[in-house]
Amino acid sequence: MSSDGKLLELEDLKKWFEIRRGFLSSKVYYVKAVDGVTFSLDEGKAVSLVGESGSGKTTLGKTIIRLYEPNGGRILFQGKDVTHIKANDLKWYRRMTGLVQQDPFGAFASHFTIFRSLEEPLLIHNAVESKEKRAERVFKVLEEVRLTPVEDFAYKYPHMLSGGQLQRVAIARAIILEPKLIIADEPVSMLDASVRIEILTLLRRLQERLRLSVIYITHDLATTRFFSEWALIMYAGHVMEKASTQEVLRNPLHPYTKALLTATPDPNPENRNRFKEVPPGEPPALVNPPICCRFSPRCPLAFDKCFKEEPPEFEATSGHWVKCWLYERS
Amino acid sequence: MGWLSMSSSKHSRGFKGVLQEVLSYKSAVLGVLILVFLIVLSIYTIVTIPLPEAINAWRSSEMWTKNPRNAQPEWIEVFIGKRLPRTITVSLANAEVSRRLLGDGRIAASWVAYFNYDYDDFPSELIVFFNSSYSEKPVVDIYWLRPDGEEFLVKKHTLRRPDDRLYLSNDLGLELRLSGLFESKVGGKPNFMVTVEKGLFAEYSLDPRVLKGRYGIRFETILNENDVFDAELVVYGSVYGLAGTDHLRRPLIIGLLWGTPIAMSFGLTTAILTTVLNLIIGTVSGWYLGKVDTVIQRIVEINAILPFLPILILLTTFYKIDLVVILVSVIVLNIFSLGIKGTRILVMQIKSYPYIEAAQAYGASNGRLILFYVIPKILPPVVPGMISAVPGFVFLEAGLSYLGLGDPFLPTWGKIISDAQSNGAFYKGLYYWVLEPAFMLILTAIAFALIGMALEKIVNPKLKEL
Amino acid sequence: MSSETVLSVHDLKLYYRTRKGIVKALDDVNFDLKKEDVLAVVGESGCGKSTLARALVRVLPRNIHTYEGEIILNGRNVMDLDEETFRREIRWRKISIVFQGAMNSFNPVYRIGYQVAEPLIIHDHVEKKKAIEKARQLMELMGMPSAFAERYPFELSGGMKQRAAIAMALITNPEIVILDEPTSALDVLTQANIINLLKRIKNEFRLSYIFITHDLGLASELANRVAVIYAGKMVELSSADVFYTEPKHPYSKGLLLSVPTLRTDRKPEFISGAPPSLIDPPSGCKFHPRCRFAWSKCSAEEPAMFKVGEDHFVRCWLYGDGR
Repeated sequence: MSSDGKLLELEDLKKWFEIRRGFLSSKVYYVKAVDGVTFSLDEGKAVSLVGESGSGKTTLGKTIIRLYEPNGGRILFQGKDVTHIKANDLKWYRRMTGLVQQDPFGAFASHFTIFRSLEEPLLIHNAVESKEKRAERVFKVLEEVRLTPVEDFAYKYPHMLSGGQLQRVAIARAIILEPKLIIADEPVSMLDASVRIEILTLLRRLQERLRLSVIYITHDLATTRFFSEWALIMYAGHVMEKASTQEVLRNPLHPYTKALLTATPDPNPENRNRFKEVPPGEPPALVNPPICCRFSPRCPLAFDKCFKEEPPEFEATSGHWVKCWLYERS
Repeated sequence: MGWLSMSSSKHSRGFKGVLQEVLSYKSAVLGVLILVFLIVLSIYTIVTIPLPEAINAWRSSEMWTKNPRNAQPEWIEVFIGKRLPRTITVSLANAEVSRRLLGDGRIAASWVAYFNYDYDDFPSELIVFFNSSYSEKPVVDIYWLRPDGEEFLVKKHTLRRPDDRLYLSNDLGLELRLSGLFESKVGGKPNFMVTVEKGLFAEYSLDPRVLKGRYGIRFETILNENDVFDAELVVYGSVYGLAGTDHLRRPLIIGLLWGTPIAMSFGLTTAILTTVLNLIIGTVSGWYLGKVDTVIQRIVEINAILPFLPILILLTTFYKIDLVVILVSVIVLNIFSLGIKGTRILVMQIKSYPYIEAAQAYGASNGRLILFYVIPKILPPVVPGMISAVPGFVFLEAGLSYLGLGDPFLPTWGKIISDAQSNGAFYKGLYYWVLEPAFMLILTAIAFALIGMALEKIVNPKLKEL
Repeated sequence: MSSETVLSVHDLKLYYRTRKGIVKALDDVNFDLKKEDVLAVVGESGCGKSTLARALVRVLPRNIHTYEGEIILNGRNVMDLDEETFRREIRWRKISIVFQGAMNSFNPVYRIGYQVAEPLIIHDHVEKKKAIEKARQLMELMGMPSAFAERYPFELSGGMKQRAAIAMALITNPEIVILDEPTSALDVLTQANIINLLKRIKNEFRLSYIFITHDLGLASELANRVAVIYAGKMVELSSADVFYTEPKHPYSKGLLLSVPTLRTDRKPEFISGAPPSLIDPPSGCKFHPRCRFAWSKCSAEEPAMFKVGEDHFVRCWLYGDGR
């Protein structure tokens, strides 16, 4: 497979978790958290992974950076197969990828200063030879995330910083090894409304300046628009729709995406005077899910086929893929 | 587990911050003061009485012959309100000597030595130590000179060997004679039994009253040429030093002093080593899970039902008992304790924290994670437990000594209590003998318990409200 | 809509005592709530909006320093009532509450139906069987199959548990329901369904809501009045129609602009800086360090609530005397 400009390619990626039920039973069940995801991400671009809790978006993110080992499919990074790499290869891959987590308050060892937390990746990878250079690098990334004057922040402990400040430190830690790919897993959902946009803006600017690829995992469709080029809508372990962010927001095709858009409120005083047309029900359990469209039980437009067969991904318009029988070309 | 994060924020303040917070509790201040006192005492002991000297002194029977037997500590006077006798050694160095040459070349010599006796009670014992060299066993006449001017022969004694000892107190003949003398002086039977001490030191009256004043002892003998005669009268008191003496005349202070560093080092070493080892085992168990975990957990469960004391007794019957053997066996029997289960759960919980995941994402190895990320996080809740465990081990050592399973050479608190018990201290009313080491044990326990409780409150803020 | 005032709060204060100092969690809060009104109380985490909910139903922690002001419910100052009377006559009878994370606060060993009926059994001494029957009917009204009353909490999804929590708040026929972030842990679709439900039952039961949320978009789904709280102080109180089109306070403006929207092309903006500590807040107006329009007076003197229109109050010197 050619990989011109492509940083990351996923081919039918699967991550199933094994569970055993019962005390002596040897019967094994699988939670199919990520069940066949295919997409590619160009260098320097951002993709939003949108889904509700339990959609598998976080599992996908962690599988991509190999915190989980996939059960099937392939991950290609710069054309290199990293699906099952180990030891030194994996260590190299860790250096190439960074992670920003949801909870900034839990993301740091409380007994480390900010400086030490940022120094850790450098120490582990022996990335910088001398102590002075390490300090220099730490101060540089702190400046990069606008935590200035850096000396004021470097020697503080995490509990002395606000959520927004900690999330900047988390971003600083993710970029300190100069990676190519950042996974940002709901990076602002635990922050105050007034600072969310600030953090997302910072992340976006770093992405553009450092030519990073970013996978932005979120449940909030509204934030995808200004912060990513591409959007993937996930539901119950499947990618339901993928296209450019603008396309998904302006011209949603999948009934699930449409429902999501309807359900997401904008601040508008007229809202109180109308009811929302959203499908009832809840996402299916992922333990041995039915082999059909996973949205079919809730889908207002579902027909016979939807309950029998899992739809493949159809390219409805150029570059706009949707996993729905409605778009089958007959 | 909200307190985990709370505690770690405390942790991040460093040692100084923790100390400051500890000292904000009055009880902990007291604990620290006691601890400092015990540490200073230990250092003082180690410096002033080196260990070999202490062991030697504790085991020697000769070194203490001039100490009173089972003497109470001197400060007991405060409670009794009487001046109790100290031990007086009357030597012939300053004696009035007179020599008379006899015709056959022999010398008739006499020595008179005086001493003042101003105490409100009678001495406990009288012994004359001789130190002579002679060609022919000399006969010594010993006269007693009382302050009231009376003078009588106490004993006609033929030296049996150059360093002969004359145990006056045990001399039944003397006792009978003194008793007779007393009855004739008083003109009736006195209201007390006239022992040798009382016969020599009491006023002539019906009630036992000490005759205070200047006493004298005179030795008369006939020596050959080149013979040397020297003697010493020891008037044993009934109090001795700060801590008194035991049945072997040993000053208890040595045992009490040396008991301090031994108890502290034993308690601290076992507490720290068992805690650290358990911490490591628990962490490994909770981190790796799987087979390692299964094996460790089964060992813990088996260990939990093994009877600790019988095994220790068994061990000490097979091996030469010394403190190191006891230490090692106590530690071995205390690792794989049930506390490991708690640590394991804690580690499993910490393992799921985001910061661990973050560290895995930037490539931290298991060893690094355990050492720098997990252990520092579980240390704060472990430390108070460790401090609070110290008294338990101190008591254990004392208990073992009491059972006769202690190190036979070292002077320890437990050993003193054991001696007191086997020599009927309570029966004889020698309470100090038991109370002193018990006081030291309790003092140590209180110090560690107070500090441990304060630390616990800091680490576990929920307890602050109690 | 009738203009009958059911709840009127004057100068409500709630301070906590902590090891670090006194936390002024709520200071000088004033507002009126009319029949069938929905007052959205919006603000960032730690601003005191949840404290307001607790202060109104008097569910307070132990370390209270100051708790004063007037809470007038149907013309009666409930602050004067002792704890026993308050519990018997006000809490749950007149004002009930759906706590944040209420769906996770069900007792795992009792059936949902019983737990929903519990306020009836405790407050009204209704026979258990009858109470559970009422709970079952109410749960059906909430869109739950009535058989769910026999289930245990772990057998229900988050959305269903949240519906049960709402049913539990309604079972004693209160006049006012306080909704403290009622949908914060739910998925977007479930959230929309719950909001639909809340709209429906408000009309059916003629309820007044106090809707506490950090999400201005969500607030607009229910509220006809909006109160903005910043650092323990109410900074703006206005009708929703005016607030969403013409907010006055610089903080309200910034907050509204920071919400990303789906249906417009406006790029969201942010307010720089972070909310202040409640122990050692800034002098004067609490917002002045982050405010673009601040001038010397703002840091020197705390503004009062100035009336800027019909039922519209703003705590900002831009609208005060001598502007």
